[in-house]
Amino acid sequence: MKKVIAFLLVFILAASLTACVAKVPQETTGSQTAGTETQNANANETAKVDMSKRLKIEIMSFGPVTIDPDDGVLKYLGEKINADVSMTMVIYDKYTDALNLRIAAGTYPELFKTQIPGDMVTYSSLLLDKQIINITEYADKYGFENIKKHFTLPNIEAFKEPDGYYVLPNYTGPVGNALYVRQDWVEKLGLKQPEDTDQFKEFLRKMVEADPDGQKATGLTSAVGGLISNFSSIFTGISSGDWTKIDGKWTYIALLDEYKEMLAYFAGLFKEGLLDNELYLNTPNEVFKKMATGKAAVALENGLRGQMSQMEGPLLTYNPNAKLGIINWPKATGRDKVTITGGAGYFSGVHVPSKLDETTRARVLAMVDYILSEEGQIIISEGIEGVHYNTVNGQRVYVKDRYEKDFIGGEPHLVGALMTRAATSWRIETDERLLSNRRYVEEHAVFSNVIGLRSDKVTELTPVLNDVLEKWQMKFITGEANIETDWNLFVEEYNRSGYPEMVQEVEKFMNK
Amino acid sequence: MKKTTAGDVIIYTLFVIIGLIMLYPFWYTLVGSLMTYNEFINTVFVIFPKKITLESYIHIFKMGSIIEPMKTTIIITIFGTILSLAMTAYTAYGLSMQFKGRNWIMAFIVFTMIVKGGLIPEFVLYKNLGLVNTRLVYIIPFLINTFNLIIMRTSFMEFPVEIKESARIDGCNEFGVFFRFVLPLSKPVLVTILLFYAVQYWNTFFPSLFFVTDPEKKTLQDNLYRILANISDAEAAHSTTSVVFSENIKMANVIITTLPILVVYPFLQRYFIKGAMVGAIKG
Repeated sequence: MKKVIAFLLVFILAASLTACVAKVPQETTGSQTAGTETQNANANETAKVDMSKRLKIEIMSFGPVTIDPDDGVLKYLGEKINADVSMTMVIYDKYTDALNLRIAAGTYPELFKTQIPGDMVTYSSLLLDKQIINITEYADKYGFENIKKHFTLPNIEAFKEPDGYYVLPNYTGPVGNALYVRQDWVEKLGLKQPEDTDQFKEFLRKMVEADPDGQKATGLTSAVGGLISNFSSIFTGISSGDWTKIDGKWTYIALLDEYKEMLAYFAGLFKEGLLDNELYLNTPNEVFKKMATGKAAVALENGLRGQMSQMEGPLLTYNPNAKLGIINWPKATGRDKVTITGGAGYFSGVHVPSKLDETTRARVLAMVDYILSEEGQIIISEGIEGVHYNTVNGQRVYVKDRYEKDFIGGEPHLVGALMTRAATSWRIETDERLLSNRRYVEEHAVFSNVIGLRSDKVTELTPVLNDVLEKWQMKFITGEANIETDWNLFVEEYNRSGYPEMVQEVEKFMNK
Repeated sequence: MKKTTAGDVIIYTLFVIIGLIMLYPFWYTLVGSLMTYNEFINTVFVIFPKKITLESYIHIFKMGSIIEPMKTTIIITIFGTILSLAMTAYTAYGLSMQFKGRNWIMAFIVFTMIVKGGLIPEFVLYKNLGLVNTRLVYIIPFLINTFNLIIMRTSFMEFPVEIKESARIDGCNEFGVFFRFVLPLSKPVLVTILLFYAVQYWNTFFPSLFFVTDPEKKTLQDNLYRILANISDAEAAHSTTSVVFSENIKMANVIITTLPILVVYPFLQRYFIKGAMVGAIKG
């Protein structure tokens, strides 16, 4: 009996391996074919996209909502490229799993997102296995001018491979946080816009001491991640979580003297009750709640309409005379200019799988090219005349039901979030406070030096180093550890946890 | 009659307090869903809303994204539960009989409780069977739950042999024995398993997340997860998309998603307690 079972197990194992080996070459042929065809194309002439046959095109993206089956924008895009276009939305934190599942099963959507630069692992695997096409080749071959123009955006070279772009990155611009303030308190106390971090501290102190609503208000409230991310840039002059060269050697932001100064600054605020003592427990909803009920003077949150309205609406119920404002970011005392974290400037990007035939590849990219065009941008941000709105006496009259279903929350259509989310969203924003903050952030943003760092070692070390950093950050800010006397203990533990190997990885990556 | 002592009072008071603490999150969710967002955010400890409003519920149904998931969930719960109950009862009855190889079959079935194929093979299998993107993917692979099968089989094994034998003597064939005697006399275990299956189908989440892309065929739990997860911090920080669902809309979604299955319990409670005890002793 034992022999029979052993034989069965060996047979199953052999059959599985044979099946796997047989599958690999099939998946790599698409890219090779594309390369050959592109080489054959005349460099001076552009090929014409074959629109004869009706196709089915599925776009896979992430987001908290689903797309209505009768979506007007997708139908319109479909008519442009003679295809039935659908969009599969997966919730953000399950997206990589869902995508990997589709990839492993070989059922690729025709256009899909990856979470670059946050998740470079998936992108690297796709590239290595030749599962995605070189978009640059196709843009040249078919003359997709809007795609070509997209590849000239700032810092986009970070995603370029030696022979072109295999991803069309979604340009978001700098991270858009804002310092929301109780404007009525500012006016009542006659306070001025703080120019540097010392003045900002005084600004908070005056509001906390005055406590105009009598709710024992704290000075600054936020979730801890956003606080460190934004102020680390203010103090160090580089983007949050970034690296900089010191004496020719790449050094992580957390080991800079200026970073230490930032932690000392926060420890001071914390000690004096000017920083929310629930910093490590706050959720965005808690932050909204504190700001809307007189329990905080300043809140650091996303500088977006959704977040602002979640504070402003309840604040006006709580006190109809209250006002919500946004102040400009201060510079670090002693520095000559304001620096705001810009991050990579890109968040996610789209790919076209190499498994598709030539016609489908070209058709998908024709759609992408159209979305990137001026006309396409208007369609995805404002809608289609006759579908989403009608013009009556020169005024737009919206077809409420259709518009609300396709443009959820009055935001641009989600197909626009694939590659031009920021641009399309900001073009329809009307709130001057948010627009002014956005202009200020863009003017003072610093982008990352190291974008898309990836290797197996980096994947292994990053969570370990982050844990050590977060642990010590918390100790320093809350006063559990003394920044002056215990700083070396932190550095030692950081080094022991693999920092020198991480430096080597950065050196290797940047010298490539 | 036993006299109530001070100890009893303390114990009962303690239980009442613990009970209220347990119930409060549900009450908080229910009341929160009936408040305006502005009132909700300005209230620290919610007992009753100042003014009851259905605006969160109206908003949800107006958005329309809950209608199709609700239809799907109701369909799979009704049909899935009936089919699963039937399949489990047939299999359990068969396996409760004495025949050669019974233990081998049972071992194979139990094996599926311990070893799973994994998500990718599962996806490939469902795809090849044509189940992906259909409502059948919520039912067919989950027709028989091994745990429920074991409970039901144990219950059938405990069924008095004398009753079966007398039925056979009276001319009943095996189907007659099963349908006329075993099933009617096993109501508690059937109701218990029915409830288990109903809850299982009502809570269908992963198959919807991974095996269904058509928004019209998504389930309620998947829909709820989207709303509760909302936009992630990373996503929000890098975007301008402000699709933010307020807390009381989230709460209204929780109520819509949990209440229907919750109200079933009191009606089936008397069978459920009896049924849960069946098979608890002998395995």
